[in-house]
Amino acid sequence: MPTGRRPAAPPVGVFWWFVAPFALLTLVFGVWPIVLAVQTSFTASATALQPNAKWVGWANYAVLWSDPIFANALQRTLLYTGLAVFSTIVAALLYALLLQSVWIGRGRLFFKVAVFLPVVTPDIAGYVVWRWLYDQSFGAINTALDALGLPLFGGIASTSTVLGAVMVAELWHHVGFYVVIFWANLALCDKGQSEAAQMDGANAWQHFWHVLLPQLRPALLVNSVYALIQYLKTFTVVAVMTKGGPNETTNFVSYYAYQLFDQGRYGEATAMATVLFALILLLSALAMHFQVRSRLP
Amino acid sequence: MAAVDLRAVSKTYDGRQFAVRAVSLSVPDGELAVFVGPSGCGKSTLLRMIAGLETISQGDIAIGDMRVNDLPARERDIAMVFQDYALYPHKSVMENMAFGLRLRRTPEAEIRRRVGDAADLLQIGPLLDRKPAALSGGQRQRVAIGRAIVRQPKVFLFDEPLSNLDAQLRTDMRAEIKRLHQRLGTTIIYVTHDQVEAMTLASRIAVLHAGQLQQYDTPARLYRQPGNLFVAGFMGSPPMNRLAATLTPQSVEWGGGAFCLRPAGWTAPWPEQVPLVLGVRPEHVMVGPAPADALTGQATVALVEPLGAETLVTLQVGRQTLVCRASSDMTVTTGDTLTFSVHPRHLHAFHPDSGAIW
Amino acid sequence: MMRPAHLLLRGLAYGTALLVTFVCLYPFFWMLVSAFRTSKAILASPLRPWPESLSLSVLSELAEIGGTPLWVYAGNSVLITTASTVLGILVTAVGAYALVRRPDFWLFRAFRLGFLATIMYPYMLLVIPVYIVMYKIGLLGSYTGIVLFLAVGPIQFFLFEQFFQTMPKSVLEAAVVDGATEWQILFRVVLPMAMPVVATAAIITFLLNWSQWLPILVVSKSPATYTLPVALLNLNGELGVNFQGIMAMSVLTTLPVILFFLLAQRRVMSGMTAGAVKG
Repeated sequence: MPTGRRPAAPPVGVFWWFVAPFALLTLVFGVWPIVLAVQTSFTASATALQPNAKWVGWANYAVLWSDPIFANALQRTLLYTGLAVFSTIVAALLYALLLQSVWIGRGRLFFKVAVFLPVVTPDIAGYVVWRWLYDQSFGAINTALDALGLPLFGGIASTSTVLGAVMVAELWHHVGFYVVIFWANLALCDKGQSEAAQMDGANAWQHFWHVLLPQLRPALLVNSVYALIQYLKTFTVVAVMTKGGPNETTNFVSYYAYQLFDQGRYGEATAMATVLFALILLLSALAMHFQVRSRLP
Repeated sequence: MAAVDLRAVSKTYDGRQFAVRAVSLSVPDGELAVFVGPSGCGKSTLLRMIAGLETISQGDIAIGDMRVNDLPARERDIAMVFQDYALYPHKSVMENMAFGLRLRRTPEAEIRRRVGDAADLLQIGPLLDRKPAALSGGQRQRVAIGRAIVRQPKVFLFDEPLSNLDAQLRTDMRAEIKRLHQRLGTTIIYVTHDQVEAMTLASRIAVLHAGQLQQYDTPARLYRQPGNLFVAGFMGSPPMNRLAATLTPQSVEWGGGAFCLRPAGWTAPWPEQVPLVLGVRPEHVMVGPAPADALTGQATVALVEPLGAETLVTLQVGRQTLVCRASSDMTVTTGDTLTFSVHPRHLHAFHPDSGAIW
Repeated sequence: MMRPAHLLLRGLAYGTALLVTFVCLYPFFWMLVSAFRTSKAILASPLRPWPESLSLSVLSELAEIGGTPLWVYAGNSVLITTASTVLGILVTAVGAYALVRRPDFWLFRAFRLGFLATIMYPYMLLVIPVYIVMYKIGLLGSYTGIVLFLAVGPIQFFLFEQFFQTMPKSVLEAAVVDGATEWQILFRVVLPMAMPVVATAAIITFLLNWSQWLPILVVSKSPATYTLPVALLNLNGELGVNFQGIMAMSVLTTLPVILFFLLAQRRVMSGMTAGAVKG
């Protein structure tokens, strides 16, 4: 009896057509630009757009390394990101816990929608309003504080308060997203365990610490990384509210890179972008590593 | 309508693990053959190879004398009923059944006729406009069968169609499928892990285990003359009693005692101390007065399970146990000692290691 | 536990939630009210909760900013957002389907990886090399270029990928046995089944793309192709102290999105967070 054919991998055939437009767009407007950016970071800015760009090796990176503005920008970016991520995750978790708790009965959906509204708002419009709310003389915040006899808030005009002001605005825009995520994760928590804890006599804090938190750990980790990546890219709020000031206090890496781009210093701008990208890749890899580890029993 | 022939069909993954190993059998035109076996025995894989949903690693499959190894599923003229019904959720019942015909550009009138006939046959006429989500499990199963019927294929393939139904529904549907087969007369290959389904539906049953065909025979012969230990233990509920025994030149010894057993016409020298496995079905273990040439032994009652129509009595014989199907009139209690008997012609002998018939 | 303690906790809970809600919603409120008040009025009493008059005269002031009529900006927003959403959904759905159906093919794995790399790249900075790319392929300043760039995004992809991965394979097999070709399976079985996800992804993509500003700013060669958010940013500088104008513009930019969201909030919230919820 003649033997049949060997099992071959199913032919890809038709699926080429299906994936082609997607692959094309991803390549042309995603992968190619990234490669180009890395490439450009190794060329002299003045020649970047020409066909024979001048290769300068690590020169652009060296410039960055010795640039005090960049060093400050990096430092501030990391500081801001760390604080923002921490605040966002903690605040989101607490608010999600609150909304999911028994103390809030009716109106849960209303609160949920309300906190998510800033998330879908075009960020430019939102930050424009916040800028005016923070205004020293005419902003609603200071007017209210003044009326209550409280000290005025420096807002975005003072170097000591600008980071906080910017962070509040960004939190306003982002927290809702994480609230909804944690809300969903809390709903997925094992009710059986909670009931067992209740019978064992655990109070609210013990219940949270020993029952909920362990189940939420993977979600907390994943979303912290997600938030990290999101906040490292902080840009719009600076572009709208502070333009990097006052005194470069909010000149984060991504904004500084854009400024350089605007000035035509393509080489250095892309070098900075590449550094940021590498940082994000590193963080993502770390996160995946921890995610895998946390799955082990 | 066509016969299905499998010739040394094998399925391997990465050339090493065999999901199906050299299975050969023939299903004559118009018969209902059942592939049965425990989970993972390869029965579904075999069915899917016939369907064209899995590639064939070795061997040939022919449907109606045509080798189909290289034919894609849509050209094999087969229809399949899936375990989870696999209905198109966004289409109505009517459209679900008509889809295959529409793809083949069957004229509208013909489609309506066939769908109507199938709907009548399966009594799902009033459901034609509904979507699958609005149907019960049993109704969905009928629609899945209807979808297969309208195609008027050469072979029907059923992949554990009743597994997702509750017990009562399963019994009803089983009978319906049998009636359908009698009505339509199409060749059917039916996969199940339930040997009761196999026994009641099949003209012939293929018992599979670990990818290999154990025995392919009529239900009666499978039951009465199991070809190996696996088939003996798989078919029948409660399963056949299997006892470890030793064959000596004088007698056969097993936990309960020894008896003399010499098959007629044995010419070879009588072996010394051969271990073997004796099999006897629970219904052949008699309690009470023994017929003339039956083998008898003493046993203690270990467990009594009244089922209503009969009572299962587990007997302790030495270190081994025997399950006996006793009449429900029997009054025994745990701890009783009694005599049981077995007629030699009801004994099966198997090699302990290979399970082959002795 | 005693009732008064319960009541107190309940009160605290609602109080906190209401406070948070207030902070979340106040900016919108202020935006809306200020759009109807003259700049002088806003400066004089910023906290006034009700506009002095409800005139829409500000719109005529906004009629031309940056040399382009307001309705052009609005039109651009609608056109660009709709086009990029439609294109994006189509391309991503079909692409994700292919990747899920043939996950082991090395080139497909590479495409997926390339896509992941793209979304991990600091998005705002991607516009720098994209500017160069657009320049090289000659799409700088064109609607086509903008729409193409906005077409592909992470959320749509993950929504579709997740859906296709959890779709029962037996339905596809039933279609194969019924005689369908892969094209027929995609368009007559899979996509109809995916309609709910298509709707969710479309709405979310629309919301997100409407808010996009930097890619459009960078790729555009003139304000003629600006959308509302971009114009708003420019307006911020140009009209300087015309607070009313700025606020009115903000309202115009924000209102469609808010309305859209409120109509489909459940869908949007669950869709946007689908990828991040572990379960």
